[in-house]
Amino acid sequence: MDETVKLSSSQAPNKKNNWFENYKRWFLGVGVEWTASGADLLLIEEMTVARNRIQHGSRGDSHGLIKTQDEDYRSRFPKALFQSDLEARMFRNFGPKLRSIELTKERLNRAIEEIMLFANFIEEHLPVEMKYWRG
Amino acid sequence: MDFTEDLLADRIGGSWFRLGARTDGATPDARRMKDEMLRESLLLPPGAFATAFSKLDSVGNVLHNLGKPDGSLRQYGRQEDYLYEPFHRFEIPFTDVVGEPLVFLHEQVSNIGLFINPDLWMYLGLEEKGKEFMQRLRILHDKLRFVSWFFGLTTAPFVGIKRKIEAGDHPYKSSAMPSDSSDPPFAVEWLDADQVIR
Repeated sequence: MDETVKLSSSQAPNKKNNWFENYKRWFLGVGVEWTASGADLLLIEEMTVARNRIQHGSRGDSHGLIKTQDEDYRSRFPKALFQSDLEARMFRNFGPKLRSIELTKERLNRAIEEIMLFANFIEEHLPVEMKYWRG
Repeated sequence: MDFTEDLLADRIGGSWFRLGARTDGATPDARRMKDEMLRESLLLPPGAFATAFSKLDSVGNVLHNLGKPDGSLRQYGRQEDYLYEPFHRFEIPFTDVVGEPLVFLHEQVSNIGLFINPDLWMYLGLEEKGKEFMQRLRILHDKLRFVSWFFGLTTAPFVGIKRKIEAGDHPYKSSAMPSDSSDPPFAVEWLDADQVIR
């Protein structure tokens, strides 16, 4: 996304303080309205948070195989795609602070579909002068 | 099938037209159908559109050779002439209309892509700008395809273990001996396999 931003002469969006919203507003400024993409933007945002938790968050088991959602993750994405169905059923308003980030083949494929829908939409709707050629 | 939208396409912004487009890496949907697009363009002499259009028939039949050099042999009695048709000269069959391909499919040994007529490139003073963006989109697509393939391949053995335990298949056949544990047989192995998959 940063490389795409570089194709424009507009000032790059702020990466701090709700960067997802900042990028969304920046793209709107060049005529690309993410909400019109049909992609699940909450899921796209969740993927970035899940990725950060997987890279930097604490682990949920002794083998280090299970990565966890923290409270901030859960409050932002109460219907998260990458949650454990079992934990969601067991713990509604109580339970451990850290919950598992769970990935299945079906969820992975759903995430991939949304990413490609989102990326193709941006490619399709970028202003021409940003995309291909200029005189 | 209705090609009106493609044949009578509007500008895509300012003075820009989409002269060429090609779907790359379309994935089949649930019905195993692919949504693919190919758009090429041809510059015609003024006033020749109606004549050319009336001979298009099925568009692909007439235009599939667009931008490809060709040659033909013509006989006049005992004389034979070899005619060479360069890529930038495209004769609409059964007419005297000759057009110049602007953007068209170009097949090479290693890849197929759209080719822009260098005359058009030079005349408009075009400059390549976003090719890297298109490449990134392709790379993204390839990486995601790889991730899906890799995930399926690496988790398959553990999915198999869970399935065998649930079915009581070899080597997870439960012993006939009574057990002190209240857990189902091979609960630890099942949980380990489940943990890996997640």
